Amino acid sequence: MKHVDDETLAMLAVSGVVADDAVTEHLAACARCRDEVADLQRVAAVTRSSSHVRLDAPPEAVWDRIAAEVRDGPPRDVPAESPAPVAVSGVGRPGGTTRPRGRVTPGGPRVHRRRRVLLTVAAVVGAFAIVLGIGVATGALPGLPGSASETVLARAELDALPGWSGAGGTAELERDRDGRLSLVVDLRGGTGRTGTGALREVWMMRSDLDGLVSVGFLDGDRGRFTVPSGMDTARFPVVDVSAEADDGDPAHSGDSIVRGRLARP
Amino acid sequence: MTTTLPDDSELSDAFSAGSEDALRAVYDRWSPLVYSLALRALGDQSAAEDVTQQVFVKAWRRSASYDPERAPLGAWLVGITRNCIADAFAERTRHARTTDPSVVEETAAAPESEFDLAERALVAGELDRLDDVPRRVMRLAFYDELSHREIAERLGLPLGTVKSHIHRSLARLRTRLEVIE
Repeated sequence: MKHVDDETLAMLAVSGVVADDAVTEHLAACARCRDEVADLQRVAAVTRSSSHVRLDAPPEAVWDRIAAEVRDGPPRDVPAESPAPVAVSGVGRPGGTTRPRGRVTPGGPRVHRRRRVLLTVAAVVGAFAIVLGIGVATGALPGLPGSASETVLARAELDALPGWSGAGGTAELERDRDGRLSLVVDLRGGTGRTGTGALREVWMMRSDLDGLVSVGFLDGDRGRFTVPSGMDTARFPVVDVSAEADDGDPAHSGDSIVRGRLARP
Repeated sequence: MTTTLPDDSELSDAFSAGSEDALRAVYDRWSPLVYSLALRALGDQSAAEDVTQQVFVKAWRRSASYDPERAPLGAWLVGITRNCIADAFAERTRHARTTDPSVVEETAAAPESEFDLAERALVAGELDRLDDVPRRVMRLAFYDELSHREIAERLGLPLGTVKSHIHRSLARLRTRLEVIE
């Protein structure tokens, strides 16, 4: 069946009016076109609400402080390597009018609904954690050695965070013969002290640390965790191990022991 | 795109190449957004100024690895801003825990409004940067809520041209929002 053309979808999103019975019929049967309309409706709604946005400019002294810090501070970071996507599935690139459909959850307005969940959680836990899904990583099998049939897709050196000097470790993202992904984490020097709690939880985070997925708990200082097949690991390239209290609170404690970014080996 | 403002891609390129003039241009364009987000979230002018400073210094330090292909500059800066706001919150929460636990609850709900403002402000900024005709079409369609037909009559344009402007501009706005998920 032929999809509805982009202009008609945009018009529908803006006006809510469908002129053509064939379009109505197609939309009833086609989730892809419905998703597109839902997406555009969201953009339209944001646009409508943008008419009275008023922003305050910071005092000019702020620029002076920035200029001074840029002039006198350390030089710009040199990127160690191009930020290689660790991904199995593609990362959406802005710039086109069509979006990648691959990582879309079947049925359902994607971004919108997920964001609402995120915001609710963010409102509860406050500043730090936006928890995408607790326990989506299943089947933690701590201590199981990796077999030779596995390919290492990406590796991260885990460096200690303030308050955890001496801690360190590694994380490896592996794919086995059947295409299943695992994250293997080795932690050093993170078990002697308690910190916020005695448990050690592994997370995968977005680059800006704003959005994270719990991968599971370490038993001892090594763990192997199955990464669910639907998860786009490229969006969560940072591996983090935190100290957690045994208090039933699913959010990140904010007390990270080590952290590192996955990169191609 | 209006001629008085530097083109987005030129600005992005100059910025990632490390030009200090570009940093100033980036600051001029986005500091009201960054500062307002911080002010809304933190409710404190001096904390918002600190966050603004951190965001642009961080952006500068990381500018060599900024890739315009992966994120529009505005959305990238919003990401850094949210990160710095989160740090400021975490810091505040740590203090609050040791003094008065009730403060945590009060500050906890703030990120939502910050987020919403980010999108609206980016869209408003993008609309301002459209060419004259599409900008007028979009304003009539979304701010004055005229129908496609009314806009066509008002501006003396064929209906198809109005539709096509709305479709193209809407698609463009979507790409500007895409990364703030």
